Amino acid sequence: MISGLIWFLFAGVSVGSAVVVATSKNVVHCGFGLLFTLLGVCAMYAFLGADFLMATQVIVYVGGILVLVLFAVMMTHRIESNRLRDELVQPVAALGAAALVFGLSMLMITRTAWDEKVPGEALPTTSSFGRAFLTDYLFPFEFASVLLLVAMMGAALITREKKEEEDQ
Amino acid sequence: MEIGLNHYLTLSAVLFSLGVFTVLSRRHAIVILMGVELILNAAALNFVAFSRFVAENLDGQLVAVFIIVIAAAEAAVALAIVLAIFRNFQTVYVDQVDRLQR
Repeated sequence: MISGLIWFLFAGVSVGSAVVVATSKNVVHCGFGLLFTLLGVCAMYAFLGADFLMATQVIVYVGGILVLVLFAVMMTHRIESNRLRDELVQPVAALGAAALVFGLSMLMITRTAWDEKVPGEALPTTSSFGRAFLTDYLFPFEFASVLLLVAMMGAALITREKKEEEDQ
Repeated sequence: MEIGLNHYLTLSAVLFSLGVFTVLSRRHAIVILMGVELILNAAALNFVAFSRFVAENLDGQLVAVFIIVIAAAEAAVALAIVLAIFRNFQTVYVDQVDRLQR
C-alpha cells in the first residue's frame, strides 16, 4: 500500500517534470525538468530492483549528459539576445501526433496478454553484470567502448576552432 | 496497491509521448535533444520492466545499460554539432539552419 503510494509519487514527479520539458518556454527550466524526470526514472529502477542501473543512471545521465546539456545551453546564448527562450511551434499538430502514439501504445499495452510473473526477491545485480559483460556480452561491451572513443574524438574534432585554415 | 507491469508500461508510454511532442514542437536544438533523451529513457524503462516481470533475467537491464552508453555518445556528438552550428550561423534554432554553407 505505502510502496504503491510512493511509486505513484515518483511517477507523478517524472511525468510532471517531463511536461515541464515539453512545454516550458525557458530552456534552462527544460533542463531542470529533465533532471527531475531522470531522477524519477532512477526511482523506477530502484522499484524494479535494478541497483547497478540506478547508480549508472545517476552518474551518467544526471552527472554527465545533463551537465553537458546545460553547458551547451549556456555556451550558445548571448545575454542581449532572447536565445534562452523557445516558443512552441505547431503545438496542435505535435499534440495530435503525440496523442496518436500514446493511444496506440495504450491500446497495445491493454490488449496484449503479457506473460506476467510475480517477481521474486530483488538481489544485487552488480556481480552478474560484470560476469555478463565479460562472457555473453563481451562483443557489445568492447564495441561500446570503441563507440565512446569515436564519439569523444568526433566531438573534439567538430568543436575545434579552425583558425589556421581560415588564415590561409 | 500492487504495482504491476502495466503501471510501468503506461508510465513509459506517457514519457515516450511527451518526448515525441517535445521533438515535434520545438525549434531550439538542445530542447529537441532533451526530447530524444526522454524517448530513450522511456525505452530503457520498458526493457527493465520486462526484464523483471516477464523474462526474469538480467538481459533487459544489460540492454538498458547499452542504451545509456548510446545516449551519452549521442549527446556528446549532437551538442558538439550544436556548438559548431552556433559558431557558424549564430543561431540554435533548427528552422533557421537551412543552408549548407555560410
